[in-house]
Amino acid sequence: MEERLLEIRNLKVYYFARSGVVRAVDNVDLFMNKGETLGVVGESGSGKSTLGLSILKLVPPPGRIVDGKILFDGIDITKLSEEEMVKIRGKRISTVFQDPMTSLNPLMKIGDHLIETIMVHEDVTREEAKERALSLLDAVGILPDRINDYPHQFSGGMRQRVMIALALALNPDLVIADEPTTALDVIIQAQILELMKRLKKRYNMGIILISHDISVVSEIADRIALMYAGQVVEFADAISIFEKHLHPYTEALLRAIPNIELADQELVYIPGSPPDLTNPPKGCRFYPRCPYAMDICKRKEPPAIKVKPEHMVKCFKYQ
Amino acid sequence: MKYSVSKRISSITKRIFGRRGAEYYIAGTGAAIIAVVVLAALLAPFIAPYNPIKTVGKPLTPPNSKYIMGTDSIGRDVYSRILYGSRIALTIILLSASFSLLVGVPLGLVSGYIGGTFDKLLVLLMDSIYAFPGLILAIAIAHVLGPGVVNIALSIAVIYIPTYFRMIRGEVLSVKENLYVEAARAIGARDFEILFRYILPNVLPSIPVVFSLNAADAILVEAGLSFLGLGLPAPTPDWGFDLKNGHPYLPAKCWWPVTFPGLMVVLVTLGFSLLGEGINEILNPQLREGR
Repeated sequence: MEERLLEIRNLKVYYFARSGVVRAVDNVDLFMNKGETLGVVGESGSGKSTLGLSILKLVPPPGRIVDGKILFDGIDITKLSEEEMVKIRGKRISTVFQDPMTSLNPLMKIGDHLIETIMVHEDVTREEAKERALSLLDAVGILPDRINDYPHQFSGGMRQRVMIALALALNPDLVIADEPTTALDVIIQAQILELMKRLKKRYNMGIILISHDISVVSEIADRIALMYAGQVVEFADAISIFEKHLHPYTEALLRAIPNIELADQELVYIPGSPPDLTNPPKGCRFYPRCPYAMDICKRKEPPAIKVKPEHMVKCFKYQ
Repeated sequence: MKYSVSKRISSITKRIFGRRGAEYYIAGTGAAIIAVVVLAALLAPFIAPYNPIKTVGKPLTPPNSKYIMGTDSIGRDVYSRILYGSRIALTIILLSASFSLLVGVPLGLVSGYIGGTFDKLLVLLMDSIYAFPGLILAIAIAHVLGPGVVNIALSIAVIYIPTYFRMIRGEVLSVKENLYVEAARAIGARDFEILFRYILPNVLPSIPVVFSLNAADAILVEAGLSFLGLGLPAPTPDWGFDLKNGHPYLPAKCWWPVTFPGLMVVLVTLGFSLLGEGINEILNPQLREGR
């Protein structure tokens, strides 16, 4: 029996904006085991970043976790105080942000970012912290003589490497990577993904990889969750998602990946746009864009159907 | 070692004066003026020809080779008084600007960072201070505190606290939205570190500018207070006080007891203003392009 690292049950995160309540994450159930990679895929505004932030309890106001449980290694994070969260952030759950150009303090040396993070959480001398910073930089492929450089002396890809080193500094059990390669060009993107794959094995940590690009996620994920309009519409292991996907949205997304062998193929896209989350459709949230929409889809929200013990889909087609 | 230090100094001076940009000349001129006044203050006991609080000649002697700036209404040497007066002026400028900096900056930092009701209350308080005409507020406070160098400096300082507060608070509001602040929080940094390691260093560059402009203003207020008799007690050499003492004799064509202290006030104000403007343009290149 594999050990559960994270289990999210019935999570609801709403933003209480002036124009109304935005249900950014609505009734989400997910899980992952230790050392696994969970890919979360969805369009912009599908709630995937909010999901990531709620695991760190950093949902910005007016957002709030309204209901549900986030069990991390058996502890319910939603019930922890800010003080207890400070001890978990960085040390047990860490994160890599999307934009490496602005994620580092421009007035702090690369090494100091690492050294200070280590010294805040662990009782070590500056010398020991520096030793570890050097080995971290080595692990992400940065030469030790750059430890005293400032962020502006680094390129985007290098900065993202530093961010990854920073996320790994305290040997966390879980790293949440929110679009870690989106701001980088394709070659660097491949390098960073390769690096993350390697480090995951070496440090045996769990990764939640959040991306709008299903092909990026497919490179490294063990499980994939597809989010649409604040809900997880399909959740299964990566192979099932690619070979036996069930939800029409998954199908549409996979069809939209351009194929290099069909050179004159027209770009496939999903017609329409995601719904307004202050006022989502009454039934299935995808039905206005769904080629298989049935009558019942307009009236009732589809339940979560388990076609296999670890394959969930929200669609009336499989009832 | 010696070589590297001198190399460093020369590279710094090159950076300040070597470029052709007008802003470097502006800042340099300001700095030079202030340097001269500071030197005068430091060397006053050695270069002043007479004791500044003793009658040394006939009252209201016009400038001549013995008294190069003449004597005032009770026969004191104007030149000596001006030299000693720069000590008082600089002390008060430095004290008052430091007071407002030490109060305004931390308040702005915390207020901008915490936000909420605390922030709203502080903004209200600062805006109320801001709403007063500066000199009138200083007069009221100086009146309550009574004379004395520290008291004068305090009453001037109060006027400028909101300047620092507003600027720092505004910068904190924008800096704290940066991703690196959120990233720091996500890897477990505490509020204290975020404030002092991530936010403070990024708002510091604007402080010298405000400090310098504030100093330019402070000397005007100080002279104003002394002129109104709320400054330092009588025999102390003080430019504002000398202005007050000398102005009744202007109609009698005795221009020297007033002109020279007045010029000093102008000079110091000019020096700090130029320095402040210059630094501001050096630090904010966008301003330069707009010109």
